[in-house]
Amino acid sequence: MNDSEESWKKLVEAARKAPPEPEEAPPAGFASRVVALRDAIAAFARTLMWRRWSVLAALGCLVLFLAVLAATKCSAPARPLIEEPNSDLSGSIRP
Amino acid sequence: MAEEASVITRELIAAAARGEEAAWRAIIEELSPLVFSIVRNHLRRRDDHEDVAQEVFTKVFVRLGQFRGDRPFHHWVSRIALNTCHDWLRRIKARPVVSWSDLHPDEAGVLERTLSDEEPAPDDNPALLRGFLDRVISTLKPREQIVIRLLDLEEKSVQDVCDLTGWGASKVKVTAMRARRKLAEQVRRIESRPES
Repeated sequence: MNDSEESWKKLVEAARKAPPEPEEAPPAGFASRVVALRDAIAAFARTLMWRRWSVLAALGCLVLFLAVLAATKCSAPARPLIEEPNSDLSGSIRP
Repeated sequence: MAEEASVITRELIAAAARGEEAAWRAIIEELSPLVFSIVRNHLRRRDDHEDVAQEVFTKVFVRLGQFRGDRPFHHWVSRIALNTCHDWLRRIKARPVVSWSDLHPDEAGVLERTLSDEEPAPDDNPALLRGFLDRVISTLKPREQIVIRLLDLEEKSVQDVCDLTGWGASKVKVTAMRARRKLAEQVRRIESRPES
């Protein structure tokens, strides 16, 4: 141990002889302020949770809508590009 | 403190976790002397004490579900308090500089007598020396401040520091060694320029 470190040790040993600082009571109303803060945090957490569920529900609806849309498109009969001429009308035309 | 903290039962913690205000208030009232004493020992600015203590209890509330009960509740809260002090110190970018000219004449006298192994004067107050050490320690990095206050001023063992902070033993020892070297250098610098 060098001289400087020895000096530090001496200072620490001397400082330890100081009587412990008297315990100070927490400031008045501290518990009430913390309880109020906790309520605010809990309310914020609830808001966040509802927002999260709302976003999830909206996404779920969108996925469901797209799925239904895709399903109906697949099951609908394919329409011909050019419709058959009406046979009833073709007989009534005179040359 | 341990006897006082034993008032906090598992039922009380469970009630607080369920959101019962009375339980939460009882925990705050029971543990605020412990939290304030930790904050006071590690942060010099009095104005910060209440804000930091509030932050500690906020963290306790948010993490209450993580308390496993494998160690006493007040240990768990002490660790949160110490880590909050560490985070707070990290946010303070400015570190004070201590020089001989900053010392009060009484403080300078006690310092000189202590370092030169003279007999202390009858009116020497060790609290002055403690205040000086407190200021010199504040020039260190946050982790070094926490470690050196616990080891040298509060006379905790390395194992205690590991339990309280959650840091490994080798990290604590290396940090303490570096911090003591820096502090010794600071003291030598202050001591060598009494005229400045």
